[in-house]
Amino acid sequence: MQTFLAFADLIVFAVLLLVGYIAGRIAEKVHYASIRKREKLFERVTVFSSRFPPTVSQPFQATLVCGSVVVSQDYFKAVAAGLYSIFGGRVRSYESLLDRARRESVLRMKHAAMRKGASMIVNVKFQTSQVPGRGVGAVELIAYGTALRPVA
Amino acid sequence: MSDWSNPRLPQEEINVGESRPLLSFFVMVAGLGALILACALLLMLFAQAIAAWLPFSAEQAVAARFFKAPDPAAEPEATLQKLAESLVGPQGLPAGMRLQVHYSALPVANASATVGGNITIYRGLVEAIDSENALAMVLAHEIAHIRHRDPVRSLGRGMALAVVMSAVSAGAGSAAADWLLGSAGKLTVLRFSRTQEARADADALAAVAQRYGHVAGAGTFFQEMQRRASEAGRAAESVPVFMRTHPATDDRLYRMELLAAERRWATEGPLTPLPPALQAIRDARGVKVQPGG
Repeated sequence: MQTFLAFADLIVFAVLLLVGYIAGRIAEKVHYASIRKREKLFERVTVFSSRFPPTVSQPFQATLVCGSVVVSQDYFKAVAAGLYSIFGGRVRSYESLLDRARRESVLRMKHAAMRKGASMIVNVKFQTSQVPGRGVGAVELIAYGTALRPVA
Repeated sequence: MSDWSNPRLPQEEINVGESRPLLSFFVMVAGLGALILACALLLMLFAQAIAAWLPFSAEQAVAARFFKAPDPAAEPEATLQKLAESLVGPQGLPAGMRLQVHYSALPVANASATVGGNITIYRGLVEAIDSENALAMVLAHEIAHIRHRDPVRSLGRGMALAVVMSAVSAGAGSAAADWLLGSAGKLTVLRFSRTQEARADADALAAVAQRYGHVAGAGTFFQEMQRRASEAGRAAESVPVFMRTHPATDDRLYRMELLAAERRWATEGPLTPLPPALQAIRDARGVKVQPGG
């Protein structure tokens, strides 16, 4: 019992690490499956980073659409990132996290455009910000652009 | 508008480099562990080196938490104390250093030296020897450790390890420090290096030769421990504690013989019987006198 108490902080750490790893892996797998499914679903809404649409002859109704997402890291990713911050190299544990956030934000933006009857978004931009708070390792990613709806 | 389209994203996530998160995690943990270990070793070497510069009074202050000065008239402490002081030799102890011999009725056949000049002789040891010469060898060995500041070096090394451990885990670090400062072990858990042991043996043999004019009987305790160990065979738990804290008895006896030959100390001579206070302990336990050692 005494030995257990002496190493309590290490045991708590190990449990958090394990929970973070398992839960994080499951969450990521589920999220990627959903992302791939919806990417097919929203395929007909096209997105471009150019400021103007390709054909200006047709009249469009332009509206701002955006999609924002907040994702949190898990304990395992945070610890792994801490280790990368010592040894350097690509912070691999955050690459998948931000990839998911980027793709999710585009999907939400496309969803918003679809609701407005648009099939094209131009001038697409991304912005990211850290969610403030003590010990909160969450990031917000927002994608926004100009949705163009052809006017009949 | 046909040239404006969004190709389907490839299935492979080209923006995601993570393939084996656990592998890279454990590689980094191993690297960090190696770094911490290297730091710990360096710090331990450093602490061991500087500990010898601590004033002896600081050692005594640490030891005062665990040792009470025994009643000067109590036996067998008084006899042991007198014998220890007679073994210090004409050069004496370094300034400020004081010896304090304690007796413990625990049955382990061992003796220990720890910080503050405290030496403990256990009942098991008294029962394992049959002459004052053998006891003097053990006492002189422990005195040599104290003279060379081995206990405080060992304590310094242990504390350095506890400091590094506390950087990893606060709980484990304080547990290690507690254990080291002997809430249970009364500082007898200190380990000495092979070099320190060899030096203590050489000093002790010289002290015995000086005191008795010969080194006969000096190795009795070691021989007895060796006999018990070979009797115990491979059953590790029954190997005398002495063998676990003092390695390579064969080697020590051999080196003692070599040293005696080199310094031309007589290896034969009359053995001095145990002082009455110690003989009484053996008699009370019904230990038979082993003729011829």
